[in-house]
Amino acid sequence: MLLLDLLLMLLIAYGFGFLYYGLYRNLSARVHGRFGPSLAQSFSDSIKLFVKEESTTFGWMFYLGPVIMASGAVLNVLFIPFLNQGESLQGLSSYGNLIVVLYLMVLGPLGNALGVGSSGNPFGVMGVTRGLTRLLALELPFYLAAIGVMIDAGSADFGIIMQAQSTQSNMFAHPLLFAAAFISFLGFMGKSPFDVVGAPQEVYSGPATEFSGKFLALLMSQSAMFSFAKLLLMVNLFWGGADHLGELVAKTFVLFVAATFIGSVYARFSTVQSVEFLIRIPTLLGIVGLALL
Amino acid sequence: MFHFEATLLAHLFFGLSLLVILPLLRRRDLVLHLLLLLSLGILFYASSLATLFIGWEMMGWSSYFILASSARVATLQRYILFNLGGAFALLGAIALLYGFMGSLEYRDIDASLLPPWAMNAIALLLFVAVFVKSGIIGLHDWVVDSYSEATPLFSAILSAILSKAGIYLFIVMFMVLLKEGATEPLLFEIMAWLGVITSIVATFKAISQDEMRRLLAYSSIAQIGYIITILALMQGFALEAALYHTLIHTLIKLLLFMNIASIIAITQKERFSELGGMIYHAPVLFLLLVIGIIALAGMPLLGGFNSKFLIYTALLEEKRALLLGAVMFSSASAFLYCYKLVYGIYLGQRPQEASLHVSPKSYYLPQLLSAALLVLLALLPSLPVGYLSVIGVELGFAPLDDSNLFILQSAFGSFHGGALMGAFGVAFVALLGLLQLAHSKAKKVKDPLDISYCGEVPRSETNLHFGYGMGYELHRISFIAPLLRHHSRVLWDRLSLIASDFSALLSSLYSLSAQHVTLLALLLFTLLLLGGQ
Repeated sequence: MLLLDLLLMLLIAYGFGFLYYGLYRNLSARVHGRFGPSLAQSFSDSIKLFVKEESTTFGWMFYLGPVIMASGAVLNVLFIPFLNQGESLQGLSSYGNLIVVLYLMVLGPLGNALGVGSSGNPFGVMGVTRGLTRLLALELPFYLAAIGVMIDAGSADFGIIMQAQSTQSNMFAHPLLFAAAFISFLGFMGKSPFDVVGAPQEVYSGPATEFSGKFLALLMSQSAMFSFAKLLLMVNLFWGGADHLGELVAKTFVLFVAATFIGSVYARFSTVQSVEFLIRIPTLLGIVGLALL
Repeated sequence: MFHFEATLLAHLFFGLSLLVILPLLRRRDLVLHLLLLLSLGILFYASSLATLFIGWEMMGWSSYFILASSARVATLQRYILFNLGGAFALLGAIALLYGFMGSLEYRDIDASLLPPWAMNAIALLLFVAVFVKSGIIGLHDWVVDSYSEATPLFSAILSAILSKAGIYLFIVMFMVLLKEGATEPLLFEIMAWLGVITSIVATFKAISQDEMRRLLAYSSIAQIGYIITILALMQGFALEAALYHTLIHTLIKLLLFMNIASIIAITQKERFSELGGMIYHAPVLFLLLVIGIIALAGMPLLGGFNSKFLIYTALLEEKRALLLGAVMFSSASAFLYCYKLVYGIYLGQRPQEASLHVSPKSYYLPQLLSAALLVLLALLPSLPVGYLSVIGVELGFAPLDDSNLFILQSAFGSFHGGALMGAFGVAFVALLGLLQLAHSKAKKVKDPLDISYCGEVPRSETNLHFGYGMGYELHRISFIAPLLRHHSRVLWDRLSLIASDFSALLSSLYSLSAQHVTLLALLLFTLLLLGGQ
C-alpha cells in the first residue's frame, strides 16, 4: 500500500511538474509578447532526449551526477506530505521532518555539482560557484521563516505545522515571514531576478553545459519534480497544506503563477547583487518577522 | 583514584583520543606522541584541578615539540604565546578557586559558596582558556598557522582531538564543578554569540583559502564555534548535541586531514591552484573525501546530519531563533568550501607537468574507519545517544530517548535514518538502472579538452582549472569583504609593538649613566622617606 502511495506521489509530481514547466514557458512567452511552445513541449523534449542514440560522458562521476540529483528530487517529493489529513499521499513524511527536507533540498544539487566538476568544463563550475555563492544568502531568509514556523507550531513535523494553521494560515499569521520565504522561493525556483546560475549568455547554461541526451533528459525530469516539491513545501508551510488533491493543485497553481509572473518581468541580478539584495531586504523581513513572533 | 561524577565523559574524550592517535603513531616523534596521549589521559581523568592543569600544560608542551619538527619559528612562537596565555588564565581561575575553597580536589569544590564577583572572574578566566584552545575568532591565528605547518599526520591529531580539549574543559568546569555557581547569564549569552560569529567568519575565511589545510583549519574553527554556541545554552539536550557534534567532528576531521595527507604524499602539492583532476588517479580517495564533505556539510545520509539536527532542535527548544538562523547561515555557507575542497583537488582539469607518487597504505586505515562509522551513524543515528544520555544523566540532566536505534528523537521532531538511506538507495539504484537501460548509449570523451567552450577549442595551455579560485567573488560582497580584509594579526602586531616599546622603556632603566642612576636613587630615597613619615 505504501509503495503504491509513493509511486502515485512521484507520478503526480512528475505530471504536474511537467505541466507547470510547459505553462511556465507559455505564460512567460505571453508576458514577453510571444506565443511560446505548446504545453507538452518540455515533456516531449525530455522523451526525445532520453531516446537519443548517443550521450556524451566524461567518466563515472559525470554519469552518477544526474542520478544523485534526481534521487535527491525523488526524496524531496517523498518526504513532503501532499495532504494535511488522512493516510494517503503522506509518503515517508512521518520518517522525516522539515529540517530533513531543508537539507535534502541541497543534497541533489551538491551531488550533481560533483558530476559537473568532473567534466572539467570551466563554465559548469562557474555556474556551480554562482549557485553556491547565491545559496548562502538565498537560504538565510527561508531558514528564518522556517524557524519562525517551527517555533510557532512547536515542532518540525509537517503534520503538526499544518495542523497549527487550521484556524489561520501562516501567510496571514506571519506575513513578514511569508514575504521573506517567498523571495527566497523565487530563487529556489530559478526565477529572475535570481537566475544567475544557469545564465546562457554568460556561463553557457552553467551546470547543465556538458549534459546531453539521457543525462539532460533525467535532469529535466528531476527539475520538474523538484519544482513541484518546492511548491508543495511553500503550500504546507504557509498555506496550511491541502485537504484534497484538488485544493493542492489549486494552491500550487496560484503560487506557481505568481512566481512565473514575477520572474518574467524582472531583469537578472548578478551574483553579488543577488547576495546583497537577499541579505538586506528578505533577511531583514525575516528578522523582524521573528521578533514579532 | 579517578572517581568523579563525569567518568563516562572522560571515557568518551579519551576513547576519541585513542581512536585518533593510535592509527597515526609513527616511529618519528613516537615518544612525544605517547607523551601527548598520556597528557590527554591525565587531563581527562584528573580528579583535582592540579592534575587537570598538569595535563593541560603537558598537552601544550608535547604538541609544541612535535610541531617544532616542521613549523616555522614565528608559528611556534605564536603557538606557545597563545597557549601560554590560555594556560595562565586557567591557572588564574584555579588559584582563585583554591583561594575560596582551600582545596584543589574536585570533590571539595562547592561553587555555591563563591561570591558572584569571584564566580564571574573565574568564568571569564576560564573563557579565555577555552576560547584560545578552541580558536575563537581573534584568538585563532595560532590554529590556522600550526594546522597548516604541522606534518600532515599531526594536523589530523591537532584538528581531530586537541581542538576538543577546550570543549572538555568547559564541560568539566561549568557543567560539573561550577554548576551551582552564580555566573552572570550575560556571559553565556556573549559566549553563544561569539561562537556563532566565529563560525560565520571562519566559514568565509575558509572559502577564500588556496591552501588545503588552511581551509580545513578554518573549517575546524567554524565547527568548534557551533559547539561553543550550543554549550552556552547550559542545557542537557544542548550538552548531548555538543557531545554528538564533537564525536562527528572528530571522525570527519580525521578522515579529511588523512585524505589530504594522502594527496600531499601523492602529489607533493598543498595548494588548490596546483592540483585538480585527481578523481581518476585516486578514485577511492575521492569517494572517501566525498563522504567526508557530505558529512561536514551536514547532509542527511551521512552522520554529519545527526549532530546538526540535535543542535538545531536544541536551539529551537530554547526558542533561540536568531542564534539558530545565524548557525544555519554559517552551515549553508559551508557548502561552498566543501565543494571547493573536492573540486580543487579531485575535479576539473589535471595540471600538465604533474608527476605522481604513491600514498602510504597505512593512511587509508583511519579514513576507512571514519567513513564506515559515519555511514553507520547515518543508518543508526541513535547509536551513541544512549551513551551520551548517560553522561547527561550523570551531570544531572534528563535522559534522551534511544529506544529505536534507527530513529533520532528530539523535542521538535524525529527522523528515521534507515528510511532515509533506504529511500535514497532504492531511488539511486532505480534511476541508475533506468539510465543503463535507456536506448541512448553513453560515449566517453577521449580528450579531456573536448568540452563545450563557447564554440572555441581550448588548448592544453588554456587555464581551465581556474575554478579553484571560487570564493574570490566574496571580496566584492559589501558585508563579507570587511570580514576577509581585517586580520586579527594586525591587532596582535600592534599589541606586540606596544609591549616591545614598554619593555624598551624598562630596559633603558638598566642602561643609564652613573649620574642618572645616582639621581634616580636619590629620588627613590626621598620618596621612601616621605612615605615613611
